[in-house]
Amino acid sequence: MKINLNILASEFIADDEKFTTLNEKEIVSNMMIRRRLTRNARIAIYLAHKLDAFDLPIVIGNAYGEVVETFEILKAINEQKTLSPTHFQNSVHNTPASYLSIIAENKGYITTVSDLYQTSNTVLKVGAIKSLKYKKMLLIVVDSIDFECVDILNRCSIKKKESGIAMIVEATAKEPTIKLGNKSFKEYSPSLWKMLEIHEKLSNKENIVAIDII
Amino acid sequence: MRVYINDYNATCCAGMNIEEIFDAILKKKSGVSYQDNYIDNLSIPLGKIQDDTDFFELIKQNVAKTIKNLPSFNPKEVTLLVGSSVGGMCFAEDAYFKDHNCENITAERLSIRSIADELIDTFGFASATSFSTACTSSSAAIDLAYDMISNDLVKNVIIVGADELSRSAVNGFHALGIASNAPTKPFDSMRQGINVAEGIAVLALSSNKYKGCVEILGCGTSSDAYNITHPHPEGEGAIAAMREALHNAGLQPSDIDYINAHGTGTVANDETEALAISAIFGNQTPTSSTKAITGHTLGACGALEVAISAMCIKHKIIPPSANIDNKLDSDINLILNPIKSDVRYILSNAFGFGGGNVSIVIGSVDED
Repeated sequence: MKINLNILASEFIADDEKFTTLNEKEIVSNMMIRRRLTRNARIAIYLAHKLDAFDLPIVIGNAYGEVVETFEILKAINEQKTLSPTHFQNSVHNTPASYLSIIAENKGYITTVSDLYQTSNTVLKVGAIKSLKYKKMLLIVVDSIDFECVDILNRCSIKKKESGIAMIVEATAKEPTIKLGNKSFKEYSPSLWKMLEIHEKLSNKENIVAIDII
Repeated sequence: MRVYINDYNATCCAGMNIEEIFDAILKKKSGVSYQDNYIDNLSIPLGKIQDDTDFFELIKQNVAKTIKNLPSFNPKEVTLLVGSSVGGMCFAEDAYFKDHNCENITAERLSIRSIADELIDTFGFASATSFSTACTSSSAAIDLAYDMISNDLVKNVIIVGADELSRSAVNGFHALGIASNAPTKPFDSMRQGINVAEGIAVLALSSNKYKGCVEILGCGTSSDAYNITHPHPEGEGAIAAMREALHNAGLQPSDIDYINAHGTGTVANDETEALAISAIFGNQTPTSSTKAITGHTLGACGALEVAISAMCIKHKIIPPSANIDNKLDSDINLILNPIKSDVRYILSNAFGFGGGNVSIVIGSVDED
């Protein structure tokens, strides 16, 4: 079973290390919230803002979760130090989704999936299914792994330690115009690859891809 | 297409299977016990499964038992949807606290996906999707399964909600000040917070109905867009999710025979959930939380409480809230003892960190 998705817009960013700025001051006026944003949340908010898509139903994916906060918690417990409540509240996988909904005052459907290296396949799948109900959807994959233990965890030698991709999509009955293979993008987290392949193949014409539901 | 739950199983601190868990709920026999090896120098009530079997092995046993009860099962035709908030976190903790570094932690084993990968290896499911939306993780999986089956995209889905007790979660909730130092008392005026718990729930969903099934009639989802850890004070998001679930089920509030509340035992959740329930249902609809018995099983609680709700329909009984000394001052009809009743329609709530809300309506199915 397949659902065809029309890709209406797409944005992609990546850097070897932490982005120096993601326009947080411009996008997030509340200083308290801005200071607490995780790296993944900052990337997701930047991409949603860039696509002017704050009010759409959203599916967000990340492969590894909030690794910075997760390892701060492990470190604190290991060293018998007081655990920061902010690190804990920011450690759940749906942290970017939550900040996005708060900043955008988006009270609709927002969910988070995490399927490691297959995360963008899953985001596309869930987005395709939900687009049958909600029409236009915002799909985002973010992965920030620029933290203390990165070289130990980063066994696939990902060069771009911060990356994110976002697309506005809607279901369509039209035939696919983009044929997908299984392209690898060695510098980037494999969690982004499927959406990166689509992004790379976008043209000025209609961009329609068939998404496998099983 | 209609969406049926043909079989279900669960394991949590209150029992090794859904029958034991439901019996414990009716007898108000909590599985929560004091544990002293999760927080340094502090014994705290937690929902620890009373069995030494490896947690991932217990997940597989629950899936195997569910599959075994189905009249037919071809894994190549079954989609697996997993909901978990910690995934393989306990593996990472074991390695980190032993080595005091990340050397033996792998992304594969740490990830949420680790549950799905283990189940695909064992059972050969056609595909898998993993949700991680904190305490609504397995509810989000059920919501997607409902869309997949009702739109005739797939015929069969296995839902797995699973979260293991991790030191990170226990210490985290303690740091936030919402882990109770006493057995949890959802909807009690003196409630102090949650008892973090581990749990597994497996649901077999299909467009084909088998004897003894119940039906998922509708789901509703919303976001509070309010605060990372606190629910909207007037319960706006909860109201929106419940209204959408009722609308999608084609039911009126007065049709609902029982509400299985999220009822975590935190000051904020219970107060706002009670407000939200009474805003829609008034003061008549029987309501209870089963978390005093099971603890709060985090990402597993949505699927676990749908399984408990299915047992209510099967046994025609409304389960009570436990550990209540003084009822929260609210308009909800809080049930304190089991009530025999021809339960046909149940609404089950799950709300999570970050303001995600999912409500699910299930109903009885007439035998043809």
